[in-house]
Amino acid sequence: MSVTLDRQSVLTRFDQLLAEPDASEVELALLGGRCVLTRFAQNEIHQNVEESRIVAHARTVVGRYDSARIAAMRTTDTSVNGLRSLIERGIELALELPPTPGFVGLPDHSDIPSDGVVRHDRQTASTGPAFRADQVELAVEHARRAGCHAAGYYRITEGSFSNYDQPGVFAIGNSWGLRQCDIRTAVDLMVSVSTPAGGNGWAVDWGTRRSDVDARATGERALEIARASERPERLETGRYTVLLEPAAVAELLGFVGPLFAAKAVQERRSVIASRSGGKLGSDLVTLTANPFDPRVGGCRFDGEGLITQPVVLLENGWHRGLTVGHSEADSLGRDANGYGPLQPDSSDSVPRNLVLSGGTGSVEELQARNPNCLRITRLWYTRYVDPRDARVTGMTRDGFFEFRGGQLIRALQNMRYNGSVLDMLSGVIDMSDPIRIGDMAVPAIVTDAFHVQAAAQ
Amino acid sequence: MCRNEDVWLLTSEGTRTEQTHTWTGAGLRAVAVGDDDAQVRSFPSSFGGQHAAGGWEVFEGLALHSEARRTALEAAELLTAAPCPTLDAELILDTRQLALQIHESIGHAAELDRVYDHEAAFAGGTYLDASKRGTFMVGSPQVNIVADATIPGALGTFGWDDEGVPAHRLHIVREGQFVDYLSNRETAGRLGVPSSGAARSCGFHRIPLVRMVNVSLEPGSAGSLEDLIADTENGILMETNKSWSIDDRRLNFQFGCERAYEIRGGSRIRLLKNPTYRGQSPSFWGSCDAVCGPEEFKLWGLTNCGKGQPGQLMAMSHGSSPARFRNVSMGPGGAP
Repeated sequence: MSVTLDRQSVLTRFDQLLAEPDASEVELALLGGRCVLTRFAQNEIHQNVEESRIVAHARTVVGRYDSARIAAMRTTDTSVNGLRSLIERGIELALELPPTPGFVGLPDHSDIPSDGVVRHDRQTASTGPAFRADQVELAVEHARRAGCHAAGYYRITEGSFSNYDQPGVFAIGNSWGLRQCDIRTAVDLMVSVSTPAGGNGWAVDWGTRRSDVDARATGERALEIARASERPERLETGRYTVLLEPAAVAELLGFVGPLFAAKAVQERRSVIASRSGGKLGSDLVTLTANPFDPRVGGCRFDGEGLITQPVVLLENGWHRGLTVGHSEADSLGRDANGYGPLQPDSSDSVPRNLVLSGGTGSVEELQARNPNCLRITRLWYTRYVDPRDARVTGMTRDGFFEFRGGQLIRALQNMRYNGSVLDMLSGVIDMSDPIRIGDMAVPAIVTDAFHVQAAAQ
Repeated sequence: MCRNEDVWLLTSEGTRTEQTHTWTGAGLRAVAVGDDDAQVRSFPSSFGGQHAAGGWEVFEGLALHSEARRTALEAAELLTAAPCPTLDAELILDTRQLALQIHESIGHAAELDRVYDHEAAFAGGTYLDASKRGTFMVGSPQVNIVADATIPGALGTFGWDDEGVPAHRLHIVREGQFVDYLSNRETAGRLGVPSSGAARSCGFHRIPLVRMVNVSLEPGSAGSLEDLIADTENGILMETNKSWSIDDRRLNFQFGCERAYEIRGGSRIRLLKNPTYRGQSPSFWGSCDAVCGPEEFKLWGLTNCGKGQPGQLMAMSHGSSPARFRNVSMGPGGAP
């Protein structure tokens, strides 16, 4: 019988397969789970998919420390026999491989502290296609009545899926008795609306439970932005004071997080190597990596099963902490704090579940406090130009406006932006309360360091 | 990376196909770190190197061991290079960068599902709406772009697509004019044309979408890369992609490369770092005044093309010879 998305089923399977270590150590991780998604365009559903797929990843280690030979293999056969075969083949393969100097061994078990955060909802996990179709209808009804087109998706996942719906780790155990399991549900609805006059709007809602997501309000919001964005005007190239809505902020923070990986700093691939302990953001900016934040409800262990500790990366703009994985901690001369990737992997141990705090009030209250600024709904196709100092480029999308005296005075053509995310954070002059966007909790921010250029025609 | 995939397709309409796809790829990436700078060089290309249909012979053919030292030295050399100046001038792209330019500004734009808003909330739409088919000049007469799922050794090559449609070869752009889309059975039926055979899925667990096959710029008559440089009075040669961004209609782009050379009077005169260029897709392709000949044609395999919800990563190859573009805006990367 295959493993199911049930904590007891997972832990029983680990106990069946992960004996005390002898000549070998074994780590078994379970990834993925269930993903259901209903996609719509031009106010109609055009795709409805359901995927249940658990992937088992075994890391097998023969020998200890510098003489350790390490192999990794995967299967979707999570029956006892399937996993036993995976482990046996992994050990056979490891014996054929050269030693991996510097291997520090698999981590021991430690208990995850209870935080009372709801990460799983049974009703949400059992949601069927009829409910999703009803939510889509609620999301598109405003657009349809207005003679506009809505597109988007309604998605529920159970288990763990990373960006781009790739399976993430939801459970991990090893032969030293480590047993961790966080089966989470997540719901998100994305709606974009286009109007006959060429306006485009977008809105998104996230949650752990399906009751967290308001489909009608999300569709209404997207339509409101789309109507307001009709007949956009060209903006001159320059530096502007801009209100970035939470989705735009989340996009940018995804590019600043990797600067805080200890290995990137040690290897001087991050600007923090020369600015450690220095001022990297405005006084308002406190940035934390924290899966225990109730607005985030992230996975509480990393890719080796180590419990993730909250790490303050920036405090009132000053650099404070770095993130470190178990496998690299010794070589970096630092203590691991639970941000390592699934091994073997030479990638950096990057902060996750970012929480940007320091502001107050809603986005609209932030707008009222900052009556004269540009406002951006979301950013698109942001990419590094230089990862060392988080210099990026990208486009505005689905809602770019100018406010004067607290009033929306005109829609603007989408523009390209260029600059360092650190410079944007240094220019923060006001923030709202954070809300959940994906696996982060982020506010809207007002920054006076946003550079735009070259309107798209 | 090595991937071996057996694909069986059985449908209630009677389709029965069986095929095996084997891909192999590898590459080198050297990072040089200076006082306030970090520079990268990749061999033979960025984002994992080179990938092709085949097995161990693909890896052996790369001869990575003999390229490692040179790649590292090239990265170190960039630390002391001058930054790319801000200018509008002639731009020559090597085949590595042209692969991405074709992919982002022509290939994605020609996906027919974008016309029908299927990607409106995510990957976006296209500047090539249905009225432009057969009427719109997307490039200069030098520009011929072909989608071809039959090229031996390429990643977007197959016997049948994932709806059972046989592999096709068709022009997307002929002498600058946009002539056809990449399509699947659903979107082609909506347009009233046969499927181009571009329904592809990343695995058994995700549905086929309209995806690129091998989309390439056909060779021209400008001779070798050295001939083209010799014919260029004032310009920049850029090599190997480092950064890429394009808007949701595939119009407004900015791309960065690992290194560049300033060209004056038909010769390379100095090495440049952090080069970027930007433009609008049709006007950029419309400025193409020279494409090198078939002796310079090279296919590059890309394995990281993302699209769809749930997300799917897909692989395909893009071929070209180096090409030149007039009056392109260039500058140092990331300058506000």
